[in-house]
Amino acid sequence: MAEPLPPELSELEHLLAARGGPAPDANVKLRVLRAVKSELRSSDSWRLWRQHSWRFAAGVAAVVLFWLNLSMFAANHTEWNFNRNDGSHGETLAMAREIRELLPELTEGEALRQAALLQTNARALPIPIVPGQQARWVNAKKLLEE
Amino acid sequence: MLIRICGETCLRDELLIQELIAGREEAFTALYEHYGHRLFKAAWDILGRGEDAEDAVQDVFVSLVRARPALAEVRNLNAYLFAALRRAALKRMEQRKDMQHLALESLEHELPAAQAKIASAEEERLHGALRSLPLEQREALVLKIDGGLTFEELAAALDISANTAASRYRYALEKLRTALATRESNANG
Repeated sequence: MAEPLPPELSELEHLLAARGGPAPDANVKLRVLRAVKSELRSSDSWRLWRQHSWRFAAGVAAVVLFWLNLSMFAANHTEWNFNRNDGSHGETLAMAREIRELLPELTEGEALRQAALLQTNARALPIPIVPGQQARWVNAKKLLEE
Repeated sequence: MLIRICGETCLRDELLIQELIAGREEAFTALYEHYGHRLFKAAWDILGRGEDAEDAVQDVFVSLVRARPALAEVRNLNAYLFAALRRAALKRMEQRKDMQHLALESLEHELPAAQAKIASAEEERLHGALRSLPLEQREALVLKIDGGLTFEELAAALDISANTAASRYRYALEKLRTALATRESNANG
């Protein structure tokens, strides 16, 4: 507990309390409030960004996980089936066996896929039409139209 | 929502603090209207320069925005603001790196415009004497008298014990009285 001040110091205390002083310029209020507004905006935008970035990241992670699961599911449930009316499957099977002999680490399914791709590539190639080369290729679309 | 501060009856500190935490600009405007002048006056007496006082007041308000989540712990907004002002003033001094030059003889020459606003010669002598005190004593007087802090609040703001705050305040008053007497005798003689 502070001791009471002697009268002369108490009087000086009252004198100090009653003293005038410079008032801040009117522009100071505008300046301070402008700074407050700017700080509020930046802190709010930072807060919003944090909230939304978290949600965005969570959304992206969910989509990626879903896609991974879906693609794994599709890959694990895909079977290779030959058309009974197409007599070329013996050729594809032979090519798949050769591929497996060369690359035994490949699964049967992957060997069949590679064989199918090779056969398709041997019959129809997606290439740009170069002038002077038309005689070498038959355009599949034109054949369909005919 | 429009907020008006008209003493303790109109809006309690707790309500204002809630509005500040919510980041309502009107709350900051109301706070400036209520405390701006007092904070500026205190900053002016601590720092001795009008432009530094303006910067210190602005720093207080900006720091208030940044510290919004922590404001929920504040029980006495007045004490909080004046403690923040003291920190802002010290930071401003450190930035200028001329604390030694803040001895008041030099400051008296730097304040012609602000001093012109002081009414009488007696008040001018009082301000001059106040500015002649060392920073520690000057801030103790300003925070206690202009800020209306208790010795406990003053001790917290200055990071000293309550007993030390009380004795520093008393010693500052005695030094001020001596400085005033010297100035009066110089003026008369």
